[in-house]
Amino acid sequence: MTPDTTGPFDCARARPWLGPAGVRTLDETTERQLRDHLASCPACREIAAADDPAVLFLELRSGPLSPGIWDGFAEELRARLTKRRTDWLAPLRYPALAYVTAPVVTLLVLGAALVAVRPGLVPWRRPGAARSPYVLPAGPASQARPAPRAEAASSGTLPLAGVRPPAAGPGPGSGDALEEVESPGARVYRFNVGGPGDETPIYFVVDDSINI
Amino acid sequence: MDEQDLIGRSAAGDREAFEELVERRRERVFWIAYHVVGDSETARDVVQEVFLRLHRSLRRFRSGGRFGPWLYRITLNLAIDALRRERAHRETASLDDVREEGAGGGPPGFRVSNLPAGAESPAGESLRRREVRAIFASLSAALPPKQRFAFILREIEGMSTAEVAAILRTSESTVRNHVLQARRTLQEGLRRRYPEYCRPPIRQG
Repeated sequence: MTPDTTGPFDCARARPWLGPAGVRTLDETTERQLRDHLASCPACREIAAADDPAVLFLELRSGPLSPGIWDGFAEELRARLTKRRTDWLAPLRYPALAYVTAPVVTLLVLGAALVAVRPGLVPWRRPGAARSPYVLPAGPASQARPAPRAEAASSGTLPLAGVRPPAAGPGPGSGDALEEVESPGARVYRFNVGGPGDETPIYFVVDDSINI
Repeated sequence: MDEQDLIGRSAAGDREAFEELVERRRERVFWIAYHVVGDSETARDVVQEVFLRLHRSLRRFRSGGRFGPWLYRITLNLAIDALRRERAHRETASLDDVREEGAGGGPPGFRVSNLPAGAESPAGESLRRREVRAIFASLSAALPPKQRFAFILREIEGMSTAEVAAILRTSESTVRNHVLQARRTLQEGLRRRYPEYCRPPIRQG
């Protein structure tokens, strides 16, 4: 088929191409010309629809808009542009800094959730972080002042509040000393109860990460 | 005045040059938005947003770059955002509204059965065109977004394959493939659901 390739793309030039094989052999320029013609020619479109019903949608090609569609458009745009100039918060709103604010907000939410679930992770939320771990609460003994840690460390034993200090050498009161035991993880303290020969060691494990 | 001059002057803060630029491009922007959202009021809002965005980002536009594809890509993105907002709004609408709309699944504002006789849309479309638009909305809802946009830009808007490829940031062969696939899906949909639009013409004489 050697259709006319000169002159305006009218019905005579378009119709040889309207068929199952026609459009497939066209180069892009001619195909666009044909589509442009079909968009404006209902008769040719009807013929083409037998093979390709989707040419129906060429009817939707941009046409003239109704006269009133742009009424007030320029004024509205001008007003919005002026407003935008004075709107200092605009850059913080979507979508200006969305790529920055979204991850920051996500991190903040995750951090807050983590602190709520594991309060021990932050120093100021650790229960008893400022207190000595071996002060026994309540009772008249709680009035007693805990021994400073440095002082206790030098002796190797920590006096238990409300408990008699250890006596020198073996004796009935020798088990009442709280002794820090070396441990790679948590702090471990031990004191013995019972008399000599019948001593039972009792261990305290102090782990700041455990929140009961 | 040349469009590159207008762009340069607009970027430098010349309000009149910017308004001239808006005047030149707004109809095409409107039609692209309208084909996507399917409602002229929403499309008009999209046009406003597009030019607000353009005004803000014009300084970042490389001189010598392709302004049209850049502008139409902004248009497509904002139209998609508007369509999502509309759909979210529709989902919260009353059940009666949803029932009335049927199973078409197209953009809001399209109901073939509810088109009032002789009515004209704000975009100045005839009843016949609105009906075709409603059919397109219902059938194209089944298309993947890129196929749908390729079909809209290439077939309905009549852009070249190269232009569409620049807007969708893909290769020309991918665009051709998208258009072909979209055309096939729409043909099948028309034959199955709207056979009255596929009848062969009655030859006279």
